Amino acid sequence: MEDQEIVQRCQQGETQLLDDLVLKHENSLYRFCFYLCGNADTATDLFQETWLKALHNLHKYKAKGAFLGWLFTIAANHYRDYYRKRKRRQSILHRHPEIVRPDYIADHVIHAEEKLLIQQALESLDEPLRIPIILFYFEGYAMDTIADMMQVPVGTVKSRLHRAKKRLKKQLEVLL
Amino acid sequence: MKEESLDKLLKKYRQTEIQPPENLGSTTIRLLHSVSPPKGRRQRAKRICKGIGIVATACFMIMVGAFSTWAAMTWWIPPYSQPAGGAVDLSSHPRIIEVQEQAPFELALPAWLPQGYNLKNVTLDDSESPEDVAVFLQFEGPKGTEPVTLRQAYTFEQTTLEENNSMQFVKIDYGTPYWLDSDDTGWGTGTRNDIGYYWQGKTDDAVMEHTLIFTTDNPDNRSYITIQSGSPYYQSRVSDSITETAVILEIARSITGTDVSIIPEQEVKEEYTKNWAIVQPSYIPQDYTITKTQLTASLSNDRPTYSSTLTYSTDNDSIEIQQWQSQEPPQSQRGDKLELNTSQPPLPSYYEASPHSVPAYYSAGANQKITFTVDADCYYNFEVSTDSAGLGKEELAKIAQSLTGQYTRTPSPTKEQDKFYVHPTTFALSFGPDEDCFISYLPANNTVAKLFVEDSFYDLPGLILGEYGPVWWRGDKIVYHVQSRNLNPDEQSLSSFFVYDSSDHSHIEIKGVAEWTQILKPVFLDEETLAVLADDGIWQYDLSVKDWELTLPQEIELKEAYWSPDTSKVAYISQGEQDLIVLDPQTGTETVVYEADASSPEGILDVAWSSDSSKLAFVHTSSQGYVWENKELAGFDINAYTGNLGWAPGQDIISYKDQTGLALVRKSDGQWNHWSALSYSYFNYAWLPNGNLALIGNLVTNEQDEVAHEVCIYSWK
Repeated sequence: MEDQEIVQRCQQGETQLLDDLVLKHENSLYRFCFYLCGNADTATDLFQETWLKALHNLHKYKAKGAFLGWLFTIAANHYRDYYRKRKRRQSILHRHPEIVRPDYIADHVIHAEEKLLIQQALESLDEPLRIPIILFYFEGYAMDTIADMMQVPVGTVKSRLHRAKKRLKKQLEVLL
Repeated sequence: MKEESLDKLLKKYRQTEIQPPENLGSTTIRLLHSVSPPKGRRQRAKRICKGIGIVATACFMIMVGAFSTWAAMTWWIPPYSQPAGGAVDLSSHPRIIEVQEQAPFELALPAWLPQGYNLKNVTLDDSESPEDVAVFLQFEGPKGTEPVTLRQAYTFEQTTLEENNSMQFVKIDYGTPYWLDSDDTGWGTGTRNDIGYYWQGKTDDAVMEHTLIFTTDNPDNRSYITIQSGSPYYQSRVSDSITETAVILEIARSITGTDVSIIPEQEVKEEYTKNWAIVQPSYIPQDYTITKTQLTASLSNDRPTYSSTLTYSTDNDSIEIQQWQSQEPPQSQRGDKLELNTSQPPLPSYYEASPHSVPAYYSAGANQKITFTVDADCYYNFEVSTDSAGLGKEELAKIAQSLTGQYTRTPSPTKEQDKFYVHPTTFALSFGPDEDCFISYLPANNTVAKLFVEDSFYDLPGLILGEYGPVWWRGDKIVYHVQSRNLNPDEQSLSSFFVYDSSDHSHIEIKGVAEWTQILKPVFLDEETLAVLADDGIWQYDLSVKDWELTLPQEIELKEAYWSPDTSKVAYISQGEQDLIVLDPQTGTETVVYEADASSPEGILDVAWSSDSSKLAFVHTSSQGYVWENKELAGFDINAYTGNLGWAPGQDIISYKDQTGLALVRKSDGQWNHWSALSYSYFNYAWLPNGNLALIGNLVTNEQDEVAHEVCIYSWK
């Protein structure tokens, strides 16, 4: 059964069919959550809260874009709220640029530092720029699929990728 | 090269194994089974209201439209007459469709072409990178005419005007001006999208080429368009059919769908060019005429740098005037100190020679130059140079003199007033009535916030219990909310409000209402009354009666509340739609400030009231800021927002942290624009009630050999 059909039946009351969707999109949605927030615990919370919100708003879903895209949007929105609530705490974790100096770090930990820098650079992007990067580079979706998911023209996806990469290039200059 | 490296780096990151925890799916399914989907009564009601609103608006628009059309037909006949040509529709051209698939932006297609012109060729150049492309549309006309080329790309970094070219500013009637930001490349922050640039290339007074550059209007899809006809390299003159400026403008009109016209020279106001103002000398030695104008805009540390070079020549000699802006003072120049007489500027206004770079004269052989800097809103640097032996120091000084004095300096918070140290994990400050009384927020060491008053730090009670909201000051008293989340979902979380008196360090703890599960922002309505906005309306707490009372029952979907400083209004972001609404706590009247697009993943990131409670600024995640004033919304661009939206007390100045410093946005000529970016090295900032600025600096070792954050207080100069 296609996602749209399952959702339609869920909307008509067969909410137990949602179980199939949870399992079907478990990996994709979790990875997306992980790329958004950068740690496993928050990603797990975000995953579950995304599904709760999806259930809560299922009646609003219109089969316009991909269902997974709709889930991604909910996750991104919810993450932003999550971030808002905790930004006071996160700001202390926000590193000063001078603290991270890959030049002085031993070879065996460079990979971890790289990951940290990439994650920080990703987090600094606004959602409209971050989501295409995650979907294109990490999830391997084609531009037109991303456009479909985000319900924007393909050109907009391309331009957002362009802008996002431009910012990432600047932020990740030390690694390039 | 870099492009490949970034792609490689991102792909490498993708390869990191990311697997969901075991049983995440089944746990989530159990969770979903334990809840039931709610009913959307309020949303439905709201949709109906929206529907009524749309119908009413549509009726009104139709009436306005009909009236405008009638008025235009009756009273106004446009003076413009279209050049010979005809409408075209290129959207279904197979090659256009093919290139559109590959282009990262929506192709700008002219809907009009001069008579006899047809699309000859469409090419896409992606040699730089797959996204950084340029698309060329070439149009050919009848025999004997020159082709017209339309280039569309993201980047426009430099243009050189040579041989008696004079640039003209072109107004593109997009309506609301958009100030280009650093993401837009090329001209960058401070240049408006509704201004284009047009010039004619001439040889012996004959027009050899026309060039018009402008940007498209879609912020998500902004690109630069260059319309060019003819070439200085062509042997023949541009034929008459295409030499008319009107033809180039008409093509631009058909692309933008709006009016495009040359701004008459006398109307070119400073506002159009203020960040790229080319200062023309009012004195140039006899026989020298301008032969070259070069404009360059480049990005440095995410900020655009504008520079220009004017060349004045005779048959044998030349004088070059370079001018550029910088955020940092330039290095001192070698040479003799030079006095520039600022009492006789061409425009009498403020002028201050930068102490970092005094005017200097330097000569080596025939080469001579004068360098000087005007310290205004940023540093304006000049270099006047020549290799003409016939010109002396006095002549060069006269030219330099004629370039000075054309800037004003806007005060900025840059005068260091005071300095002190706070705990090394401090990440925010909240000031009381003066700078000797503040709260520093610390997330560590079992003390999450400290009050500093009378030269000592005091722990604030209750904060260790859980999450807490910002404090609200009223004189010596502060109030804040603490919410401790119980790890056991079956047990209720604890909600307490603390009223702390900094004059005697006494405090009272007030239990919150059980249903309040989120952090609320309490305020003092008066000495004895607290108020909060919760999901079911406004609650007040009378400190003498010692009880909460729901004074304004109103069902709202509260996500975050922002009380105005005078507590006469409370703005809140709604949970579902993320609308921004202002509520009158007395009457319950709601005013929708910003209605979010329900299908958009965007949201409101931060909200701040002006100190006089009359204006509301907020930041949208799509790098867009707004100011709500007198029930009107005005936009401003956000450059790399990293947090802490605020208002300078008593001023029409908005502040926020960006990636390179502290961005300040102010109202000038009725518009909100970036005016200054203070490139402080700092961690966070806070405004003091007296208007001074506190910056929490980086970690240092203080006099007591302790690691601490340095806090600097700056006043305005």
